[in-house]
Amino acid sequence: MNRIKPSDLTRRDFLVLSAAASGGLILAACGGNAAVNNAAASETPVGPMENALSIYNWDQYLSPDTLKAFQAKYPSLQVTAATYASNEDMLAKIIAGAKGYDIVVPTGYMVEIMIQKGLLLPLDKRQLANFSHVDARFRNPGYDPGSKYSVPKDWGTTGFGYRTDKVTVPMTSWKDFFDNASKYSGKVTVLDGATETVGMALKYFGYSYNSDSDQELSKAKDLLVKFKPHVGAITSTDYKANLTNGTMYYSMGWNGDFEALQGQTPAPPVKYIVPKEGSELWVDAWSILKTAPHPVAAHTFINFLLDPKIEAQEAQYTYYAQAESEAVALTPDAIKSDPIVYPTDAVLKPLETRKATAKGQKARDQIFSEFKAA
Amino acid sequence: MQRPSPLGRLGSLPAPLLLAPASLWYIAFFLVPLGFVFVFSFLTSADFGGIEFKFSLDNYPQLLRSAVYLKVFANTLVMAFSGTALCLLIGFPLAYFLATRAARFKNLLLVLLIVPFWTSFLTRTYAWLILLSNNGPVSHLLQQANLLHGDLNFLYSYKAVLMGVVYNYLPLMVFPLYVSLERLDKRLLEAAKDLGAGRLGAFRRITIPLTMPGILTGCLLVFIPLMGEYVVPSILGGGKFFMIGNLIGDEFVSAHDWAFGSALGMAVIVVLLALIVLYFRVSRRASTPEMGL
Amino acid sequence: MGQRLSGLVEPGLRVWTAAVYAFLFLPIVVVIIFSFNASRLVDVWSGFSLKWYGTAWTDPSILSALKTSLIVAAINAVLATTFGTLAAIGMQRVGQRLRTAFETLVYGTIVTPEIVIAIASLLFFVTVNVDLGIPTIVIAHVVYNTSIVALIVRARLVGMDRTLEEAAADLGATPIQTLRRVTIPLLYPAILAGGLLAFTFSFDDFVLTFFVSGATSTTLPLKIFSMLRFGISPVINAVATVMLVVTLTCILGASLLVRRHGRGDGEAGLLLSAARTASEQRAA
Repeated sequence: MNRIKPSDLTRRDFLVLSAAASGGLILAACGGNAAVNNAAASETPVGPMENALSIYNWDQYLSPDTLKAFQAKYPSLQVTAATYASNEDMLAKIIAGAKGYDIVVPTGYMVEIMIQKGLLLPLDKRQLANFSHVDARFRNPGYDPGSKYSVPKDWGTTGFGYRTDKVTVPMTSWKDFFDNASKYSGKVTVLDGATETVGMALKYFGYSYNSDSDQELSKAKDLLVKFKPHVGAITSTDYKANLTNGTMYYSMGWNGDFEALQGQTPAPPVKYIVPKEGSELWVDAWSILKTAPHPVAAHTFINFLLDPKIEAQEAQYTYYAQAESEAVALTPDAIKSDPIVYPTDAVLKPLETRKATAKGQKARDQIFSEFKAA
Repeated sequence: MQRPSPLGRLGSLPAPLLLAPASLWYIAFFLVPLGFVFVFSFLTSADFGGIEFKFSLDNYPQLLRSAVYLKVFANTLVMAFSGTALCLLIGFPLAYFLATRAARFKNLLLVLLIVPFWTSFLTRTYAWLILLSNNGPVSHLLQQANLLHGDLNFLYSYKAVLMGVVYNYLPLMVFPLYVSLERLDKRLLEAAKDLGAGRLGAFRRITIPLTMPGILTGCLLVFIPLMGEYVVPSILGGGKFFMIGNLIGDEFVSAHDWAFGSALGMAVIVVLLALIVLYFRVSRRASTPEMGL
Repeated sequence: MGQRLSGLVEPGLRVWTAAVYAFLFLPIVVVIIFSFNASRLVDVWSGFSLKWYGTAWTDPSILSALKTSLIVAAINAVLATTFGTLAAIGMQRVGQRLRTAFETLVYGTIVTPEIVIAIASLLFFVTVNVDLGIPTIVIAHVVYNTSIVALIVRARLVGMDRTLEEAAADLGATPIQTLRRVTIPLLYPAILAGGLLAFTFSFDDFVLTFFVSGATSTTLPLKIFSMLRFGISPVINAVATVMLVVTLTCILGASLLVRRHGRGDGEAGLLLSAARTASEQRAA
């Protein structure tokens, strides 16, 4: 098992890597494809801090210790949190005009969508001194050139994990995932997200995760419909518990969740796989909504989170890779040298980051509906 | 009973004015929103969500373009029929029993029936997740009684969905059945017996026709909301049994295709209205049964 | 008068009824029992403990959800009871055509699937640019609950003795006085029962609330649902039990009120009250 040294990470050029993985899509996107609504970044006036903050986040994605430390530093600040289980759910609520949230945590492609729709507040870097700790390679992502609207929170991979005691033949690919389903009918779960599930079906055939080709999507659809009768559940949240208690044998999921399983006592015998055909490499980011009622508090909170010590603390709670090498240095060995959290170059090579188009997203939604109805 | 009371004109206050607050509320927050659904079904959804005020007739043909939507509709109809039928089969004996009790027991039993019905839908459905999980009490009990070997595997299946449906909708079926059965003049049954009809014959030719209004009402009260069921297929079915309620919800929550979601909503409304019209036709005929003995 | 059914039918139905009631109450009982379970697991009983209630009580998001639920349910109950009672009384007095039209509206709101009302309300609020929050939840809930109250109060009204109202009128009370001093007090049990039921429906509601709630207006059912996505946990059991207790109290209260028929007690008092009002009027 390769032990990743922190120095390996610094030599890895994230941008080049993802460019290679996604065939130049990221570099192409760099050129201002993200139609920024208002070019003049209206900077938030540095004013007095408000007395409340509302965070809209994925569940179990922010350490209670971090929150406590933040509250201790700013005791007059009332922090409330709400959760969502997918980028699309969050977008739906924001589009529907749910006001009152300050901070959201979109994945890269969702940042781009939200920028296009004018939903995000341009960040005031004067209030984000700790941004200097963010690694150079994460500062200019394709989905948000110049990090004008987002700062990276963490990054990870999507793959699947399986119970080694229930599935005795080792699995290494999406081919294994889909083809073995009939053997373990009713014991397989997939993520409750059109992007992920349809994307993995595309990867099964070796197509691009971001393919918009009608022909390729159609083949993905046929695969999913054939696979449906063997699906045990469609869930983005239940799979950890179900793998632990043995109700399910293998599940599509995110690497941090599977890392968390290993931290359980007793740890269920689950192996996480980044399939060799490829998969999704994603970056989750902190963003502030344009309608945020407490922008100063929001900036203060994000700045607080960018502190490497805090990031290291987060890594020990969420088990996801941080975007700051200083933070990585502070992370315990068990996590920073774990290939699930920090995979090797070889593993990362076939991965792609998501770049959504309206047409492609619509096609995926429709296919996912057909899958669910099958 | 309905003769106009001398208080019909409340002096300076005409009686319709009493209806005003509720009516205004209904119009503003029920009819108008439904009207919005109608209007939105003719608009276009913006990229990645939201709405564009651009007229489009494409949403309705889209319903037919892919077989999946018809399939979801069909699945939902099947589930609604099965659920209603099960509720009727399970609920009729229960209603019959209730209707034939002494007065003091009647009240108690009715209250006991109401209690689970009015507690949180979500909580009760969730409770089944505990009961029927592979490590749950039911599984343990059956294993210890040697009736089950291996995993229970009841959850996340179609039968779990049907069970959840019956569980949540049974009282809606039982109440109208009970009312009908209670009003049934028992002397008619005695007369039938005197005239030589067997128990089953009397049941078939007296009880059923005379309680038909109750049966129809019960079926309607279950079938219609069941068509829009959202929670049970999602929780007990593991998200695998996609009903029209889930599809509509999805179009608004995940896919953000509000225009199409509205078209789906309109389709559901039309189907349900048709059923209600059918109900009124059939129930009018059913209230004049032949008294063949 | 009870009826002893013949042969095997009676014991057969007894068994059937018992089985159905057991089926109906089983989950409720399980949730309550396991909320007191000392261990995390739901299949093993390891002793009585109140710790999950403690955990729930000290979780600010749960407390805030409880507060929101109570506020919404209370406001909704007041509004629904007012509109529904007036509507019930009005339905008795208007002509056939208007009554049928209104009745259709009432039944329409009850019978339409909740998901349809939910998306309709969402579209409505978004288009007229109203922020989603407690007001929008209350508005949406009141639609359904007004109908519930109207039907309950009307059922009582239909069975009520009208002569009391007529007597009050004969004694010189104006229509509004009659309404205030005779009709409404007579309907009081039904009105209260309707109000309690409106409260519980709002308190327990999920689908509609899910679509029209805003960022900071999470209700208890919404909170349970988001906790639920990560599997069963004893904290959920504790919260669910609290919800059950609140609901049960309201339902039992409501059914007791409805069963206590207003006949025999207080009628004389009401007549006196009407007469007194009339004499006050003449004296003025």
